[in-house]
Amino acid sequence: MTVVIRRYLCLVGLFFISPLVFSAPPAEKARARDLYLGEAYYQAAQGNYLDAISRLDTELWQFYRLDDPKLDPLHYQVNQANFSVGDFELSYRMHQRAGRAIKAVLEGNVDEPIRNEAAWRVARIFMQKGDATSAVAAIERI
Amino acid sequence: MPVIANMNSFHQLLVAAALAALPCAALAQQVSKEQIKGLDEQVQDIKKDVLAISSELQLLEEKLLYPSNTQLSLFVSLKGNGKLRLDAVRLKLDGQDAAHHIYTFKELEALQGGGVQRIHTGNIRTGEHSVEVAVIGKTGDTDFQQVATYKFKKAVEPKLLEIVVDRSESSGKVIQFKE
Repeated sequence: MTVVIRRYLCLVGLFFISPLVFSAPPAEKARARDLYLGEAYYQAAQGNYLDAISRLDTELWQFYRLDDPKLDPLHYQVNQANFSVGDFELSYRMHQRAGRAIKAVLEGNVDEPIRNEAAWRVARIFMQKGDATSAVAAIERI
Repeated sequence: MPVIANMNSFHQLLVAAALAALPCAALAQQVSKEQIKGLDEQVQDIKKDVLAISSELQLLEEKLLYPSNTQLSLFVSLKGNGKLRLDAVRLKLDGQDAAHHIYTFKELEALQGGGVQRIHTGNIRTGEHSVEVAVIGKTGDTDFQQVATYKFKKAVEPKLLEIVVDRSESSGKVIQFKE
């Protein structure tokens, strides 16, 4: 019973949050350890989402092709970078791609807190699309 | 009486016509919704293509204009909360003017939110170099200016240098460098 109540509370929360998402600045306020990630935040905070996504896409593309990604400072925050791409895409009204990026994290081999955050974001995207059933299904994964 | 009867039949006709028009209106609305959905998907596809082109251009730019063995990128970030308001940053590389940037309110907000500004990207030879940074701003009502010089070594890999402007009052050094 409490699970059902919690789920619906989440859904009500999403309902109220979803209209604000498009105009919301990126959620990340923490300092980026990778300078290019920080540059993407800098662009996104000014509403330059195209520059932010393109910068971060390029950075992630290069990161995944490194011989030893652990030497790159981005490896500390690679999940956050993936989420941020999704967030920026959402703000740039590209919910299809945003959903795919976050779903990739959700289905990947990641820790529980990260998976929960991804599930929450996927639910938020579904809510924006007006698909409450899928939003509940995403919340159930938390 | 015939006038009232005529009025009644006219009303009935009007209601019947309105009822008949309802499904048509609903159909039109449905079609337009589908059209909007299609348009939204098309716009998203275009944005995806633009992003792919932009990313490719960035990679090409980096590869052709700033090869890794000569590339130098300088970044500016803010740290701490204090009275110092950053107005401008001036950079000199090996004594030559490299960049001068005056900050807008939006840019300052972005920096305060944890963003990092890439202020300069260029090419330098491998070896010893120096960068001179001047931070211009205001602390309360008084003008503020501090200049700092940093020596660094450029190797074969791209060089990234972060200039941290520390606004915390406890900090004696407002300009700090991080490699």
